[in-house]
Amino acid sequence: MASVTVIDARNLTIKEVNAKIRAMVAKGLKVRVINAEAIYGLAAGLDKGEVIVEGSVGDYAAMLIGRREQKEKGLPGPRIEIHGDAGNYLADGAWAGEVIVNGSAGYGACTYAYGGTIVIRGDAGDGLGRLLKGATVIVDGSVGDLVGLYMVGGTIIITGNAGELLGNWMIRGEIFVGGTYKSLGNNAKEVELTDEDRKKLEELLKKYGVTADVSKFKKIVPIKLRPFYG
Amino acid sequence: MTVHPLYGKIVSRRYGENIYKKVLEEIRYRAETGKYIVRGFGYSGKLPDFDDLLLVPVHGLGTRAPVDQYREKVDTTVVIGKGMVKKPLVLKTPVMIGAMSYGATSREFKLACAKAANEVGTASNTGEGGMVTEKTEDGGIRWLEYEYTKPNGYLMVQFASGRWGVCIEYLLNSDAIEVKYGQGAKPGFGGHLLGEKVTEEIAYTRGIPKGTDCLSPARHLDIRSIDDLKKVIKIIRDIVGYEKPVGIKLGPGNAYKEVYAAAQCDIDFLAIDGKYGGTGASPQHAIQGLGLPTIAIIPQADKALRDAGVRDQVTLIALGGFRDGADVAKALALGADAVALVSAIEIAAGCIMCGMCATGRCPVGICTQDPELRKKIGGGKGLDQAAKWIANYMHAVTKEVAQLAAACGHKSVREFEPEDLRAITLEASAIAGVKLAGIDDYVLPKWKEIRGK
Repeated sequence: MASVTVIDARNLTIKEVNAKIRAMVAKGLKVRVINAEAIYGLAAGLDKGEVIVEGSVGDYAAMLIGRREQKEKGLPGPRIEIHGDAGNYLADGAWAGEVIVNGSAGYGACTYAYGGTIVIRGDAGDGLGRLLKGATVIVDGSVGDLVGLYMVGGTIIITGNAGELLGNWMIRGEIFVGGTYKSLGNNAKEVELTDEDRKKLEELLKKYGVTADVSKFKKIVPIKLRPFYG
Repeated sequence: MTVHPLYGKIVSRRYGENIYKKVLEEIRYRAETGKYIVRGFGYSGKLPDFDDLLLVPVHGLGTRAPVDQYREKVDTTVVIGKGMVKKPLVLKTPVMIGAMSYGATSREFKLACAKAANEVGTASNTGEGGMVTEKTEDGGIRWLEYEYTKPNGYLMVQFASGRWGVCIEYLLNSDAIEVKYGQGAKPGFGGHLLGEKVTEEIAYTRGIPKGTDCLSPARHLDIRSIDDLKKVIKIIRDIVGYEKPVGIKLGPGNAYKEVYAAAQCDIDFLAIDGKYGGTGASPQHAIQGLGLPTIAIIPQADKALRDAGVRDQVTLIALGGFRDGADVAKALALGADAVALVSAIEIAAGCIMCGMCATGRCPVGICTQDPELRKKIGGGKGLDQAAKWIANYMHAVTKEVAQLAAACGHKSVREFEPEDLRAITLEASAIAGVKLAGIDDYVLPKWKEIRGK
């Protein structure tokens, strides 16, 4: 088991914090970061190792984590666990790995994310999963408006409620909502869950310790595959 | 009523001059399909441009003496990332290859551009569709487009609003990163790649399903303010180890305001794309209706960078409508440090301007993903031939710029200045802040104030 090293991020810059994280991870150490509320881009571009953040983090935490090659070969990426809230744009453009937030996430979480799994044990703001390309996002709580805008792939699971224009202009991918949604976006429709969907949901929720009644979920998918020009 | 036999001829001829007559088929197309027109290339029509400006030669009589181009060398190097990064780009020419996406253009064309960049000692640019790659035997990824620019050239990669294919390996296998906000052919419109061109290869590169229309949104979905942009640029720098230049590309309408804002973001270069800037596919009304002439935005951008106090740090790259060394020299005199060519590069590589870019039916293997049409690259002789044509063209343009610099009395292309220019039209003088030929003065007092002489 990797030994743990602590980085106190108070008064450090993003350059200093991330350099320390990379150096520790390269040595095979598990990293614990404290006082990272003011740090944006924490662990950005990290491709391996485990980072635990005690407390909240700033914007763009875990941006562009994981490598394309890890996604393609099914290799594990980094694991980042946040015991607090995450700022805006959590796991922006992620490719591989796991991000677990034991708290809420701000605006635009998981935008552009190609891969990996992001679990938010709390609420997420507007614009979650916009232009999502392949990542799996689980929100054990409610989300704001415009979730899944322009989505081209991936899976979004919301155990609570969703706001306005859910799945607006989505052209691929799927959104599951356990509660209610205020309105669907352009090119989004609700369909019945298949047995395969239910199985997938049950497995994912179980894996990440999320308790929810799968029979109550609604599935949102695109209406047309080419809504813009076709 | 009897119609005079000449009547038809008279009105028909008059209608030939009519603004509607020129667009008759376009109106009918919209009427029959209910759709707007999507096409490639850039603005069609006459705007004030580089032809409205002329360079001022010197004779050494109350002026500088010309440089003897046959025995004295004119320095053509341009540096991007001056003193800011560990690995600046040291270009052997002020002429670069502009952004054209893999998807809009073919694999062979992109690799030809990369090869030409190596041959010339300049930079190519991935555009917004990711990088041309190849699978290795162990299932890894070879970043081919980057490799093809080596050892003498550079590859700039785009970080655009669709973020297609952007991963850490993509950023690490690059020499500079360009955060794209807009382009001259469709500023404010984002990017478009029709599903017809999203083949298996393009789908892999962009990480989307085959046949999907690929929309790059009008704005970055993760940048809502200058503060956000500053953070993103800092994060990019952090990921690439503070080694590579990072810049921004705009297709600015409010050139001064937007460049001034961009200048607050700790950048190494700024690319501005004016009208005549090309595209693989854009709504025609955007091509024709949005943006400003290149000669109007260069002086505004130059001034904004000066006013922001970052002119020495930021390399200003101009795009949009460059054909030869004279155009390039005039842009440098207006305030640019380098230019990037796009449409001219395609033409050098064999483009015949048939207008099929958006359909994927390019007959010369450039703007297509069709395996058979791709074989037409380089006149059917392959990408090496296309690379040779591009490199030849860029060498020739570089020589032309150097010769014009010499004729203007400069030993370096970096010495060009607005005083090297005269405008031959009132419009060009007014919008580019260049003295009007004949009166040797500015037509607008504001420019006298700005230029200070």
